[in-house]
Amino acid sequence: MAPDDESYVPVEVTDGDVPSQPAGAVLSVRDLRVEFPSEDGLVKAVDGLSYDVFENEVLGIVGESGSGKSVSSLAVLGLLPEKAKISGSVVYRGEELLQKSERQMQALRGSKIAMVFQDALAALNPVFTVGHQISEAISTHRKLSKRELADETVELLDIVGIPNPKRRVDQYPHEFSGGMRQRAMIAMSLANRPDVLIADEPTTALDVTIQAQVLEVFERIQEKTNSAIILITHDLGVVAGMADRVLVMYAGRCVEMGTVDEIFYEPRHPYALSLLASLPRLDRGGRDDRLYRIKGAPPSLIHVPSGCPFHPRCPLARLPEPCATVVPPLAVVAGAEHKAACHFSDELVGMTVDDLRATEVSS
Amino acid sequence: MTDLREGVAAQSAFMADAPDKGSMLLEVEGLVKEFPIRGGFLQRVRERVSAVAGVSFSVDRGETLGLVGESGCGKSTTARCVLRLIEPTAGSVRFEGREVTQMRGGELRRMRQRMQIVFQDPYASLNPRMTVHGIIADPMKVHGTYREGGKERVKELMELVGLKPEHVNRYPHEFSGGQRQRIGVARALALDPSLLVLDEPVSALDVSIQAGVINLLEDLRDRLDLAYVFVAHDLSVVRHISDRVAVMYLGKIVEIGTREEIYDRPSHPYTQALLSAVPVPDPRKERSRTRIVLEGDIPSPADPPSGCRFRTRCWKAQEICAVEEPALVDRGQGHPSACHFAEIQEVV
Repeated sequence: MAPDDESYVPVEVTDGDVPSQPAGAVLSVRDLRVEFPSEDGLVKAVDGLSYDVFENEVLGIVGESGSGKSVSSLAVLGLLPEKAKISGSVVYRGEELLQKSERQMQALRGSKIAMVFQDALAALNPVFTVGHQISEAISTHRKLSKRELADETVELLDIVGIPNPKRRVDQYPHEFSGGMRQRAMIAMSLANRPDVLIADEPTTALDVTIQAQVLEVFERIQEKTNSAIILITHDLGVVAGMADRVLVMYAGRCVEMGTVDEIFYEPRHPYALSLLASLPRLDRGGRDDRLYRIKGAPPSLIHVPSGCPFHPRCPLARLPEPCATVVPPLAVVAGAEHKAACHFSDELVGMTVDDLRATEVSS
Repeated sequence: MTDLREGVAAQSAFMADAPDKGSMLLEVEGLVKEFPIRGGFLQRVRERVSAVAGVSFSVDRGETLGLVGESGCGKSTTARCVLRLIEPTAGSVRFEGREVTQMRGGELRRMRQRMQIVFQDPYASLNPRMTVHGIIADPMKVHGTYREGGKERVKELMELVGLKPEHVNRYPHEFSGGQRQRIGVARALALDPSLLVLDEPVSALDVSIQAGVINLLEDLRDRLDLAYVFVAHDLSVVRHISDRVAVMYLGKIVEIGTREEIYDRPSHPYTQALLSAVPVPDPRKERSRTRIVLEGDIPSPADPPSGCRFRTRCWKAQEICAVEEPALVDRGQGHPSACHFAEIQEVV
């Protein structure tokens, strides 16, 4: 299915082996691997990641620092440095992105697939007005008259809830507060009505009341457009409120995937359950409540543990066999699309956060 | 866990004079901190920013007070003024019955043995060229307590915070973030304090590491009868660890009360907005919750609004709010709230 936009540069697909996409999928990632050479050895940042994003949905990608969640999305956009070794497949509307040239990717980035970065101050150019930078994002991909360009820029600022957009459009990034800069970034990413919006920790640097404002902007985008949103975050609360489906990453791999309710209420990978059990909650508990402590630390991506990468920290691990020897495949565990990569995911049926916390008290 | 218990048992010698629980340990009254803004050729003081504008609270022995608020609300400055790491401009800080703001020389040094701080960033707050032993022993050397069994004390402290004593000669870079924060805690405990000021102690840590450090802090508090002033922006962490909570906005406490009073029965609009803005990791709850989204940003502390400082973003604001500053008093909700129109609303 070819996009109908005129400005879009069509690409000849060399061989006919572009993986087919499921119906309704906008972006399909298959067996994506990203490796970086380093002085200490090969860093396996992403190790065989596969997922689909469908129209009009929010896919939450959660994981801790170093889990590969950001690197995988930079790979999708072709934004990784040249030394990165990338393999696998990224298909956007029937076209393989990993084989595209830099020029072809430029035509796609910011128009069909756009990204919102965490640090808005670093992502905005301090010597140009915010309006100039948003206009540039539009005019790079579409030819508009000066008047139309100015109108559309103001409209975009208005959509993301910036007060007084007509005045604000001529201000510089330093005149914007943190929350407004992030909204200006979102306005820029929306400039060409992207099919896929990738937001990498879009609210992490923000205070909680400002985060609420920015999340509201995303909710509005969801209502008004058909864009698929990939929301990358470490905040399970943000994911619970925003995402339709969730992908949990650990050591560069997807360890569990499912609907937001499946992941939060019936997690079938010990890492997902452990994370939930380790979180202090705003809505319950207090001084006598014990948090579940995940032992150890996230693994080095140079020396990823053998077998299941989570086995040194796992409360269910059977050692050495099979957990330290056999990599558990990501397999369907329930329903149609709930998948987990654990040899003993069946044992998690019915297990709750409180069961795990109880083990902490008695240990 | 077992390591920790043994460590604590070994610790009992230091706890021989554990005082009664419940008596007041720290009392802060009318604390003010102004920072000058300089400008022009001669760098004259142009204006003054009140980072802390009259803050009062108290902490009992063995109690944890959470100090929460968004960036720039003055919570860290308040905590540092208590220790006199920053000199307060006005107000009084009484610790263990003595006025801290007037102390000098030896008296101030002795006071600081009893009151210690743990910083946010475990990467920046440990000297990379010192071994763990050097880092933990340093306060003892400074205060002259190292000679009598300092070496053993360092090992005890490492066990106490869940580190292996055999790692005593390693350097900070050989430890993970969570372990480094434990080193920071061990250093703070070296002089056997009665109060720890914890300035965002877990916010630089990964989610899976946070819980271990929080549990450790809770264990230490219970076993060493420590009082904490726990400064954090993460309201979930603060709920978990605090007995009482003070909510700050633009240099002032807007509401203060027990954990249940603040989280289950908040009465100040800012507290309500703050709590309702925190996403909970519970999808069904998230779908049904109504979020109070505040307009605009926090005003500049150099030019705070007249009357109530929150009025520019408050949906309840009326004329009186611009004229009369609401005092932090109990307005019939059972705990103090600085709002003319205080009213309990459940938001969590």
